[in-house]
Amino acid sequence: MDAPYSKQVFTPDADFVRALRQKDAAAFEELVRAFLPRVRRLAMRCFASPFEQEDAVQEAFTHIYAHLGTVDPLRRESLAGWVVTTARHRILDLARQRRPEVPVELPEDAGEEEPKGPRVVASVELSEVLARFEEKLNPKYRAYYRAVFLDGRDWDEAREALGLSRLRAKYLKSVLLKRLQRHGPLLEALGRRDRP
Amino acid sequence: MRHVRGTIDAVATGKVLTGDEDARLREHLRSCEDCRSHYDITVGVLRLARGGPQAWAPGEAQRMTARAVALTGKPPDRPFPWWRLVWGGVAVAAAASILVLAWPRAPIGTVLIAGAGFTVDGKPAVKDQVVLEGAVLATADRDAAVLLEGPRGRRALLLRPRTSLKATSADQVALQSGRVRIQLKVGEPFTVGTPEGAEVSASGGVFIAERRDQGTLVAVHEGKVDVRSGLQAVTVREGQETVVDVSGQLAPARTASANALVEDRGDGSVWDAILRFLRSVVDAIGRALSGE
Repeated sequence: MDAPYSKQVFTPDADFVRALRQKDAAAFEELVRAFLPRVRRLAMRCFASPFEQEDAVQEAFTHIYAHLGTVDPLRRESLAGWVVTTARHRILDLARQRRPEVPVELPEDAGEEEPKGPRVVASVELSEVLARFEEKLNPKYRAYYRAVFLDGRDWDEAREALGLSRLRAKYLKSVLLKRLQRHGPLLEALGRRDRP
Repeated sequence: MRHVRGTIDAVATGKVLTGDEDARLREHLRSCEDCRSHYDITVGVLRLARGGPQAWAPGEAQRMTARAVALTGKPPDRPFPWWRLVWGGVAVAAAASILVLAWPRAPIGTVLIAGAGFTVDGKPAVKDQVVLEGAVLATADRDAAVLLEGPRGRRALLLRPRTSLKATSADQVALQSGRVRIQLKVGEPFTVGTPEGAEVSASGGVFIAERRDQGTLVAVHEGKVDVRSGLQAVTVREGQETVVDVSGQLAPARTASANALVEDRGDGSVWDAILRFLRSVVDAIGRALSGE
């Protein structure tokens, strides 16, 4: 089995660790980018609400940032383990604080991802829901929808790729978001029937 | 409680908040169940549209990274807002317009007499009020008098009832309607513009300009004035008058009618002139007796 995705791409050197200890902004940003997927997966194991997940991720990185001074530059190979363990402990603490009545456990390998990387393959049922959603879309909106949701581009990347004006992209974003927020089968798949 | 669904939708579609804005939004979401539910549904459906609940909603990674990196005090990376240049240009133009319109105008005179209904720039005016460059002076049913002062002299203007004029500068006014009497010291030039486009210039003396149906009447009490309209020019001497008709044609100078030479005091009648003359005689006798 290949190494997890984040371990493949993150290989810190001594200079990087020293910069981290000095709370260098660029170094911390690199650390966040490298570990965000794993920390997010840890949060998703403890919290169902996307808002709480994001809050937990933020808390975890806040805790990590506050303790960067404890990173040992001579043991940089242990940096990844320290980041994940610190994040796991912080997220567990948060989960227990918010729902003390619910026992929460995060195994050591929680947060590890599939070797193939972060790409998500939709289930057959969800694929059908999304296909029907796209069918119902006005053809003029489909290119942007496909660029953002099927090709995985960010909103602005898709706009640039399709050569759309900002105003047009703003309109398309608004239309697509409203349609998605009101699409019954999608809300059912989300497990919620209350519409925004 | 004010809900923030619009902000949530904007954030979900890529709007980058500042650290303070983001902190305020999250604080609100912690305390508002309704908005938090909206946030969860919005991010949830965006993740599903990307393939499942584990997927990243568009912009989600950037948002979380920016929030974490903000801990270091580094501002979030934002694409350069080129559109702001356009709005910036519009704002600069608007500011320039406001600056021009609101530029402090120079004071050019003061109000000597403010009869009932007298206005400066449409607002009721009082005695000793400062008159600014470009001000529009207008009387109602009573007279008003102003003193215009500039480097080239002091001029007294008497505005008769229902008169309107624009004080372009201390040296120039533009008559719009009614009748104005101008008193100048010798060697202090002054110009009155008429609605027909003519210019009435004098360097001393007393003259009147009155807007009438058929044009503008110019009559001279003391001294002389030059009236120019297009290529035409007429010199009007003491006791004479001329008329600039509505087409801008100048009539030759002729002896002024009695009405044109009535002193512009009180209600403008002959009796007013006689009373004024008698007062001036009494004043002269008084000054002589006091040795002035």
